[in-house]
Amino acid sequence: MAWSDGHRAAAWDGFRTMSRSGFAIFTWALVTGVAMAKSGLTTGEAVGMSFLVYAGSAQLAALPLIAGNFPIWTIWLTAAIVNLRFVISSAGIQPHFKDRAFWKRSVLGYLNGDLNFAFFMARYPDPHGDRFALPFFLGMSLTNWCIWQTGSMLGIYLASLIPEAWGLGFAGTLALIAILLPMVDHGSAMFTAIAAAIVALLTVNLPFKLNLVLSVLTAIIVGMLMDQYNAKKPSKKGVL
Amino acid sequence: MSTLEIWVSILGLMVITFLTRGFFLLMGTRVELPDSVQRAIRYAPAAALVAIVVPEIFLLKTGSVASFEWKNPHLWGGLVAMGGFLLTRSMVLTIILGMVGFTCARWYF
Repeated sequence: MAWSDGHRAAAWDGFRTMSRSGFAIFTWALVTGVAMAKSGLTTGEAVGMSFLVYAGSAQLAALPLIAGNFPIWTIWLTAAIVNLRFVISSAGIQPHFKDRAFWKRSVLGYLNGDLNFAFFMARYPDPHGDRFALPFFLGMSLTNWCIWQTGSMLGIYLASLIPEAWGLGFAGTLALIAILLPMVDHGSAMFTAIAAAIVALLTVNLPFKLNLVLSVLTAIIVGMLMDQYNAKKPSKKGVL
Repeated sequence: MSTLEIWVSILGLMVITFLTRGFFLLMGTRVELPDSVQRAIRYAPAAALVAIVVPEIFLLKTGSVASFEWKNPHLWGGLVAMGGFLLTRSMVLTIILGMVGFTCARWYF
């Protein structure tokens, strides 16, 4: 399919939309690159992880587990749970692209991230078959991919110049804090996070990172109870 | 971890990320998650990150609640980073302030 001027304009629009967040994406990628190289991965492994996995928060969450020699399935389980939010966001964009070929939907899925999902849903809240939705999504996603990989590669390279003694591996944990706080600084999410934190600390001695599973289950139960409570008392909604 | 184990981990992470990112795009309308399940799993990703981040910050590497210790540089770096984020809402400043707090605590203790 040849792209019309309208398609190209939508792709450029996507590029500009994502570029506005370019600095944040670049920094996050840079820190992830440094954290990968400073937490026991060789340069080749860090580069491979960046290109193959391409999921910042899952990568950062996996690093302490790799460094701590946890069983591989605990690493996979952790990444799967951290990535559950993409399952939900893929349901949001699915109606827009449901008529596309399977391989196209696969590529769109690989590119589906937090930022492009948020910007996409803001631009196209209703799925009514807008033909410029695809080039807009691709423009954003490819921009995101390029900025991310550039930052990540630079981070891996810089890490080789920085002495181990600076303790820069910790920057990965700090980046996770910046990702985590906006997810939990409001409403019932805050209570689920506090409950998860308490359970994670109290059960930290359990083998196989079982404390993570227990934290997640606790958060889900607390969250559902909070939802029920808020539904019964609509006047209180949003106050917490 | 051995080199082989690390590559197996990375390839598994690739598959998991591919399947989760594209879940409904790949499945089409064949699978439907009830609203209640979708609401429930909204809370999971943040909780998993909490379970990674909180012990990293609050406990020493020995991995026990008994290892809580005020003279832990990760604790101070983490607390400064949290304060930094709540004040500035900037990822860059959060990381810089956190690293400064962490480094100062390491010198001080």
